[in-house]
Parts: sequence; C-alpha cells; structure tokens
Amino acid sequence: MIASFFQSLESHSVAYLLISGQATVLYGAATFSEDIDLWIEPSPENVERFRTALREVNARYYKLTPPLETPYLRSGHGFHFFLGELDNEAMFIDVLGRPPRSRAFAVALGESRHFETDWGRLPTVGLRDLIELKKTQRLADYPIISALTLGVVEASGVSAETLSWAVTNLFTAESFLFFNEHYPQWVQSSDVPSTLTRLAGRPADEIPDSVIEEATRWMNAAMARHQRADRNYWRPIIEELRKLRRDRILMREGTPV
Amino acid sequence: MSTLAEIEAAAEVLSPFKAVRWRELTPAERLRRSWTARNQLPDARVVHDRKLFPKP
Repeated sequence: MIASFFQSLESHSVAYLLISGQATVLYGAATFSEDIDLWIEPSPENVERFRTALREVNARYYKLTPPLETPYLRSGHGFHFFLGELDNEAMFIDVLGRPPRSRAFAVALGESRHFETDWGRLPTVGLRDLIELKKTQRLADYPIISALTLGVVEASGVSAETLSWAVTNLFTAESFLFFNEHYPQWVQSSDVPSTLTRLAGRPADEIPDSVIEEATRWMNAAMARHQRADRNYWRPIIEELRKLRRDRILMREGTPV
Repeated sequence: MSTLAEIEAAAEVLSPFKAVRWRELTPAERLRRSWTARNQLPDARVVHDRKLFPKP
C-alpha cells in the first residue's frame, strides 16, 4: 500500500518532499514514526496532480481537514488522509503546503536529498529545513533536533557559520557536551554564557555539574522560546480551522478524495 | 507483540553515543525497521491522533 502511494506520486509528477518523522528516520536521528508527512508544492497544478495520485490509491479524508484546495494549503492548514480501512492496517498521510518556519518550496526542494528505499526514491527535505520544521511544541522533538544538528556538523564540516548555527540548535546536555568536546572551535563564533565557553574542548567527564546545569538552563530557555513561537504560529490557523468547522466546510471523515 | 509503551520507548531519539549502530545502517534499512516497528503497534491510529490532535 505504502509503496503504491509513492509510486502514484512519482507517476503523476507530484512535487513533494518527505518531512518530519520518516525524514528523521532516514537521516538517522530517530528510530520510529507512525505516519507519513509530506510537504507538497501548493500550486493549483501540483495540487491537482496530488489529488489524482490520492484518488488512485483510494485515499480518504481524515479528521479536521479542509477541502484539498490551494488557498487552504497556502494558509498553512494541515490535511489528513488515510489509506485502507480505519483499523490497525490504516496508513495515515499528513500534508502541508506551507509548513511552519519554512522557506519557499522551490528553495527547500533545491536543498533536498533523495533516499533510495523500499518505497522508491524519496525526495526528502534537507537537514536544516527539517530542523526548523521540528521546532514544535512537543518536547520529544528537541532531542531529535539535537541529533539532526550533529548530523549537519558531521556532514558539512566545521565552518564558523556552521558551528555558530549548531550551538543554537542543541537542546540536550548530552549533545551539547559531545559537540563541545569534538568541535571546540564553536567558542569563537557564538554568543553563549562565558561559563560555557571557558570549557570548550574539555571532555564531558571534566565538565563540572554546575556548568552542565547552566548549559541545560540555557538550552531550556531557547527551547521554551521555540515552543512559544510555535504556539503563536498555529493560533490563527487553529482559529480559522474552528471557523471552517462552524461553517461546516471541513471534510467529513471517510469522504473519498 | 510489543506493548505501546515499549514501542514508544523505542521511538525515543538515540543519543549521539547510542546512535552509532543505528546510523551505520543504510537509510533504507532504517526505514524498513522503523516501519516494521510501526506495524507492531496495537493501534497506530491512537498514536497518530495523540500526536497530531493533542488534548488541550
């Protein structure tokens, strides 16, 4: 079922990127995701191609989903579909046309990566875009971001820009200590509390608990800012979704696409 | 059959120290194993909905 779905996207030339859970699995930063998240280019032509691909695999609308139309995609709504019956075998597909904190689709597509898998050759959002998308309200996403960030550093080397960016995208003490020990040059390019910068390059087991606690507070404060920003991002979209529900514009669960 | 708690525990991100073996796998193999674990969920719908439509 899942391979057929991706084959259908391919055969109808749908412009899309795999994002979120399965993308983090492909990049090696997480071990599990229960659904398929896609970012599709929200142009009318592409939406029509996507609709055709969904129909070909008998997809149906799931909960809280507006009609699959460009204006709703462009205003940031999430679209939820399922394949098969709504039982243990059901497969969920969650779609965005304008993910939070995203750049233009064409720009992200230019920095995407293709992975060869059992489901075909999957266009997958680039690491830095994926990291921005994962700055959600869910605490569980922040260790994943940290692992993805270490992946960026390993893949792209230790330029001052990369290290400066990386140190603001680590949210666990474990990832920060690893980064600090292996990439001590970060200290030259970042605005970080001096108690932390003084210990750049030191092995994790030589870092005093008080410094680890300060690092944790510093990262937690950044995490809280991202969570707040995400809440504020979704507020007007959720408000509009409530209005669509009141106006009975949302699709009924189970309706074929 | 794995319990939901076991599956969700396995879903937690790997630390940089524990991730080595996982990252040594090919992306295709990681996806294969992830989807196998997903197929063992007692109810994928519950997990999906809890993440996507959290109760306030």
